Amino acid sequence: MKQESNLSILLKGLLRENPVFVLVLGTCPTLATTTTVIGALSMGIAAMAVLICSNAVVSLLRKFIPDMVRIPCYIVIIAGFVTLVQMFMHAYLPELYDLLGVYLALITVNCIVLGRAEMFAGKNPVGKSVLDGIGMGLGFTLALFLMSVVREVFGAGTFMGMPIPVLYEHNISILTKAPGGLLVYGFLIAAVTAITKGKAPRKKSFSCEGCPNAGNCVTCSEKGAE
Amino acid sequence: MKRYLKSVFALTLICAVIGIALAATNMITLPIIKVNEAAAVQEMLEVVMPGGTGFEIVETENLTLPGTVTEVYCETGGGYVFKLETSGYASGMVILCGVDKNGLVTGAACMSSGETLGYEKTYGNNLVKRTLNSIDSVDTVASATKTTSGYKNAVKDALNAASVLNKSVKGGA
Repeated sequence: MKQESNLSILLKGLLRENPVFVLVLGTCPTLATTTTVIGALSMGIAAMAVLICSNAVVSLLRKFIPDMVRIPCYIVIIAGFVTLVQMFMHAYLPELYDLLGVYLALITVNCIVLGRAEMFAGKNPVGKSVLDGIGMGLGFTLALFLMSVVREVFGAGTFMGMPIPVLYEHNISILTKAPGGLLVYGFLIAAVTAITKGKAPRKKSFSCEGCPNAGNCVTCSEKGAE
Repeated sequence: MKRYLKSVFALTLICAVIGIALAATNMITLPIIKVNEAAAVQEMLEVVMPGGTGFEIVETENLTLPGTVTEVYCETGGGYVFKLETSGYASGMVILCGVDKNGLVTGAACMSSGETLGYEKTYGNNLVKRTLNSIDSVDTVASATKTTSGYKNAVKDALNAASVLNKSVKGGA
């Protein structure tokens, strides 16, 4: 199997395997926290911190964690880091803690974090897993930032809470609501697909190999027999 | 058997280490969080009781107040501010509600909550100058959702608690 370079691991999360626009993971916080740029950046940075730490620990313990209980172990590790981030934000950044509300705790069930632990950190050394966490975290933050800029600037007529002349009086308020979020999300996915010219990872990249149910799955065993 | 024992041991060990890390972090952050919360409450007292001065904590151990009331402040004008902890869709919705000496709501504000939309931050403005009898007619906080229901019931608890406190003051006098 071809070895990926460190630079490729770091950069793939930005565009080619962007967790939001290409892998379509973490859709719930993406839609919920992108009504304001500050909220989106806070969520992106908090998720990136959790992603880096959980990737590092999962990779460090990958030979110690038995295969049978790897998913519960990953969830305990991720939930632990999320709670740590929550406690520190509550103590030192109370305004951002209030702004993110319930979505901060929901990073625990963010598919990106569990997905990277399962697909990458559980199979690669610590250094590469940290790079993957940084790359995917930056990709997630970048995606949230792009979406929030469109939604806040055109939906509310402000940027980071500062009113923008003309747009403030003539905003498209649906963009700050859920349907507007989905519209912006769809357009940005289309733009990324156009930029990457459809060279995003194909289905075979997500084979049964990484699936926790592979051992019990009928489809998987049929594929193996072919 | 060995495989199962190894799995149990690994998961238990990870849980224990994470638990210790969380306990240590909690010891560091909890005092800071308490200080921040106390400062936020002091700031909000004047918002929910405009013009109120000389706020002091009231000892309520001998009074039967609704369970949602966690702290009571009195002010020199005879009004009270109640800190209430209730549940909406999620638990941990903390509300400050001011009630003047005539039993009218002077203001209400949500200090923290785990609700998803954040609209609970705006409910307080709609309940100003309401009494226990007129609060149910507020349509914009209709009790149709768990959040509005929890919020409105907490404000009703504040009005009930104010009534209990006023009676106890009169009885004591």
